[in-house]
Amino acid sequence: MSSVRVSLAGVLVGAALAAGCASNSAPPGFLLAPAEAQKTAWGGWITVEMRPRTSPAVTAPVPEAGEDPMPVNYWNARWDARWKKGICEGELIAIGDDSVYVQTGRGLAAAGLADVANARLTGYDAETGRLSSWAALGTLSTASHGFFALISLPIWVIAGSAISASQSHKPVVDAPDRSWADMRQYARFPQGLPPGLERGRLRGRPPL
Amino acid sequence: MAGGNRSTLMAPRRGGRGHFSALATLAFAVAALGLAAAAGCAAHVQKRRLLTPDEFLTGRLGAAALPPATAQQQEVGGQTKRRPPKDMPDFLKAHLKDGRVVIFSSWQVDPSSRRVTGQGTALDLNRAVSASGARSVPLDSVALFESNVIETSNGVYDLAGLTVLSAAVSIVCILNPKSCFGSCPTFYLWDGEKQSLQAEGFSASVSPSLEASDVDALYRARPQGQRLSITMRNEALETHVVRYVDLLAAPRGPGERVFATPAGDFVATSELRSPERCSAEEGDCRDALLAFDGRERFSLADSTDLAAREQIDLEFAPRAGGDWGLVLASRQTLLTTYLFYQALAYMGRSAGAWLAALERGDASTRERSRALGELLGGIEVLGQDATGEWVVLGSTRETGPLAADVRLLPLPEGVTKLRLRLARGAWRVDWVALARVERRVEPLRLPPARVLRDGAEDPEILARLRERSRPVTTLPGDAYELIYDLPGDPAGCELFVESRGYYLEWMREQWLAEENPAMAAIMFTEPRLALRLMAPDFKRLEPRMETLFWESRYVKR
Repeated sequence: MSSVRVSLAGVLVGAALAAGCASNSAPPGFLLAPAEAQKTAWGGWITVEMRPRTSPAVTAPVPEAGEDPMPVNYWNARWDARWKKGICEGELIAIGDDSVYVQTGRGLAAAGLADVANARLTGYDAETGRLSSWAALGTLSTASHGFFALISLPIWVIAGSAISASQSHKPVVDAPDRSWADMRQYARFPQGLPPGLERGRLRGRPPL
Repeated sequence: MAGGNRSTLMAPRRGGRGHFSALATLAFAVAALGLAAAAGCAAHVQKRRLLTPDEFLTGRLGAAALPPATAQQQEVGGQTKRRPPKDMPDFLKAHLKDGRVVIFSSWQVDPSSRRVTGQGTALDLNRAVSASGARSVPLDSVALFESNVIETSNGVYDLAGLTVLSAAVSIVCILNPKSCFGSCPTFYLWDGEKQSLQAEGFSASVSPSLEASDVDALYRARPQGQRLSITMRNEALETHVVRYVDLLAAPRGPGERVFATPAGDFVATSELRSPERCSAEEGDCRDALLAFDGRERFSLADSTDLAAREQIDLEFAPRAGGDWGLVLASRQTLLTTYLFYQALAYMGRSAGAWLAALERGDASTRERSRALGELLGGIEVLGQDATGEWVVLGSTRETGPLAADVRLLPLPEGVTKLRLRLARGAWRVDWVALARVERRVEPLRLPPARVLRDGAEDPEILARLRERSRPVTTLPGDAYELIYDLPGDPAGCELFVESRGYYLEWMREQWLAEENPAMAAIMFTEPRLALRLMAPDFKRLEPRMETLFWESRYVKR
């Protein structure tokens, strides 16, 4: 195999690894960097895909005095469109014995765990972009390597992509691959819904 | 141009565009990596733990409740601020049973009253701030404690390691772009332990008009069975044009070795004698010259004149009658490489025109092109005659700094004191010995029987190497395995490789920036002056030249 082919193969492998980065549908700005997330008590972003012919029960917010009866939740404005696909998403509020609670644009949605086909929770911003940028600049720097770039460029591409992909999975918890209990730590109420909670009084996280 | 095919190890000219360009590229590469690293260092992972109040109370988190006597202290702005240990969280979250949460930035635990107190912020169910400042929370009201430890991502360390390696390559290749391994075809053979570099072909043939044949001894080759495998590689930024690579098998008797002479003859020898004394300006150098073992005697070049000479005196025990010769194993240092690439750099964009002129020129033009190499010369062998005078007996010169070659120089009868005269810093001498010459022998010429590329038969290349009219062209990274059928018992023949062809050095952008027609002209018209003018720059690079050269070899894996 020629060196050029080796380099090309390296780039392709890197592209394949990059494609392995964990994705999430969190709106830009919702996820906080680890250093910020430790100072707040919001839940992570969860996307719940329901089984066919099932849907979560939604408790619409009860407007407070002077409050818009249906406050816009900037974080999940696309909720309506997603609803048709049997997907609801938003801030993870709590995980109970039989339900997962998600603060959506329409209010607090309670989905039976048995009705959930799969779910992905992203607890915080993995800052993958920083590592990707590092790898990209490192790849560019191989322009100074002359012929050695045939070796060093694919190494940068492969290693950079693999490291970025690995980093992107750090804050991600998938169900049913992992237990619902693993997701609890990233809920607004990790202890479960507080007793006596008036669900209509709960509000989504305002935009920063 | 002697020794032309080696990597160059030239200093960028002071204040020259090449130097600026190299530094600018280096600055870019290092800045890019530095910025990337700085940004990437901020990539973290969060380790979150949930604890029940009892777990909290009995665990380290609760125990390390920052009593003043054990808290780490940090001076901040003239005030002492208590900080938790590094593996402790900066914040502690108390998730209350009613859904509220208190986020402590510092805290203490009183086990007796079962309370957590400290500075913190209380948040309501919708995470609006309800109070801040000194807070006290009874453990019984807490559903869970949450801690978060922020750590630098392992990916940062991985990329940091890669960055250091990458920066090192950038620095080597940018600051010294001509230090990358250079070679004409290199030949690798089995030496009994491993595939080792044993010869290099037509090193002095740097243009089509200088196409030449080159015979190299395969003194350390150890054939495995009736077939001999030679791997021919192109490990440099060069185009190699190879007309043929033949194996020469010279017959020898038991205990005999066959050597090539500078005249192109092959002689069988029956006895080898080591020198009794070897001395040079550094003193006794006998140990380095006793065997063909890779331990070489060499010196550094003169700092004012690269053509300055030195000498090595050899003394052998008186010998019986018969014909004897001096066996000499040596290779060039990187001095000639430096000079060749410096010449190309000085030619700059006109290098093509210079080389074309060389192609069009007559024999005298080609002779002038060799003038610099001639001034450096080979290794002259002198003998002391009956009157005590030193007379030149001959010389040997094998171009190339990669693989040492072994030659035999016939000696007149009765000479026991010999002297080697050579340019300082230009040669590495591995072995000297006297050998009793038995007879001349004629080697059997063997073209390759098979050619493999990437393990597969390549009949086209085989046909070209055998018919010779259509040379094989190789590019950096190319490698061919040439297989020869040996005649009879391998122990009954001494092996040599004869290759013919030429090569074209690739110009590098950095070289173009060092264009200096005046210096190029001096190198060709006043070579003695050139060797003096170039000495200081060469001396600056000389100490690390060999290391850089071998580390920068380009090999396709």
